[in-house]
Amino acid sequence: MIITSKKTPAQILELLADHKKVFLIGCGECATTCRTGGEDEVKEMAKFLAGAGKSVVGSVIIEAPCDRRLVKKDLDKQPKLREAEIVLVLACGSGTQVVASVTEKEVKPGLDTIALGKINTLRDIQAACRLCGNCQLDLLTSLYCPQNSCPKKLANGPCGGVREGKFCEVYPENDCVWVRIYDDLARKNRLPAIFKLQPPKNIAAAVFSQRTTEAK
Amino acid sequence: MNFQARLDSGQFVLTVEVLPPHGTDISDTIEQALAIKDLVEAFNVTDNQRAILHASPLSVASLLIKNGLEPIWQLTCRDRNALALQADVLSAAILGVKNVLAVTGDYPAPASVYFNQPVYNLDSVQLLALIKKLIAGTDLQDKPLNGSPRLFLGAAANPGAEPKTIHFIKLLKKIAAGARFIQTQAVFILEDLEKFIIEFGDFARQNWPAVWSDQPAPPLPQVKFLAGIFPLKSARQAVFLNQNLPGVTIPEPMIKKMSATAQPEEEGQKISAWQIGQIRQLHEKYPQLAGAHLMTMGDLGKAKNILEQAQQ
Repeated sequence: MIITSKKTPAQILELLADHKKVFLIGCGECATTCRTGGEDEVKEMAKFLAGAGKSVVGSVIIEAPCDRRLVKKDLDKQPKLREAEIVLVLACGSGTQVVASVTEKEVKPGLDTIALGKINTLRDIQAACRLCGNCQLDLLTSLYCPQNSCPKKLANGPCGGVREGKFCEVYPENDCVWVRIYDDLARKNRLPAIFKLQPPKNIAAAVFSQRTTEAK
Repeated sequence: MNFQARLDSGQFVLTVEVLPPHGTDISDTIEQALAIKDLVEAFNVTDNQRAILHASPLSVASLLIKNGLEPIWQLTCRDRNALALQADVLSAAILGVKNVLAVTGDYPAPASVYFNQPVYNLDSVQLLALIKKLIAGTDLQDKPLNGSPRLFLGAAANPGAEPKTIHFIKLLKKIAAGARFIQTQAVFILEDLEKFIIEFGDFARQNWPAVWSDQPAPPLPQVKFLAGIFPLKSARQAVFLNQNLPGVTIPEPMIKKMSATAQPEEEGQKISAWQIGQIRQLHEKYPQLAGAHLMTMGDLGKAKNILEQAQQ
């Protein structure tokens, strides 16, 4: 599940500039779960834009805007789109790009795309994966990824800045992932793994390629 | 006798921090370093400390060498990928640098990340291992080098960091990767420093084989520790550091002393000078506690005061 966060009202207005007629697109999957681009958020955005002097000519929640087939199908059924001067997409960067590939209208990203997330509860979504393309969760514990959760991407243990023996030096509201990893391995009697010198991570070259599946 | 030779021969060693300029004006720095050349054995040249822009330390290290002084060149993982790190290590060796302190590097302030994307391609353990590889004659991709560096490797440690075990494991890995001298975070309670030296020593001896799980362990090397000395400026600063510097504890009596005096800066320097004397005594008992490194943030005048007081 892709974590997105809302752009600020000021940022949204800057994106829309002088355009008055806006068409809103939301996402029925990840952005709904994140409460950044679902039905409620699209309604909220429509209200905000109306208050800012814009005219929301129409809106639609596309089940998965990252899927071009669905986007084409849904937008073909939206005559109001023709009246719009600009389209604001409340979905991840992928969804925004797909929408832009289906319509000639100017398309703007209404959200920021952050990371792949895990859902603990609907009110507690955590970043879990940052797409390194070379999953090595087997090295220590599959519970936590230091590439994702450590801001310094440390592979061999924590930095000296762990706060109060528990929290991240850089983001004190977060647990130090290395303390978490250590606790888990200690509990499961698998500490030898953490003594091993980990070599530099080989980030998959595929991460930098545009096409990661072969078109046949 | 150079820094490494002094440590190897068991001598007590003092070093001091030199901050490259936030600009190109180097005149004062070298002059002030020369003024204390008889009081310290080496100069720690920092690498964009706290992720704040300074001239990169290679130039200052080179100028110190030209002036007959010995630098400890600091290299962080924050700003350079593996290629750039290797390239800089090779350059450092060409310029005559003998000592490298390989550290992770402070994370940049969030507001500066837009021009200052943290790299962290390697961590400090990997960097140490990589420099060790360059010393042995090949680069990261196993290509033989046309001339290899000869360097004395150091790393950082925070004696007060918790939970102890995971930090001890990391430090042990730094030693396995090649670190032979360790500079610690600032210490104020010397009993804690002593405890750390003892406990880590025991831990290292016991767990050294675990680091080499798939091969026979080489002998545990002799590693020398330099304790961090940070001169306090005020009671307020002491309270702030207590709350904000993980692993660092400034004891109440020390804070009281700082607030009781009309000259807190001088009191702070007096305390630092006294601490140097205490560490010198501890060194007699624990030879692996080889000395101290003064964290005066580039204020070499202050360093001079403290070092002269410590001599008395």
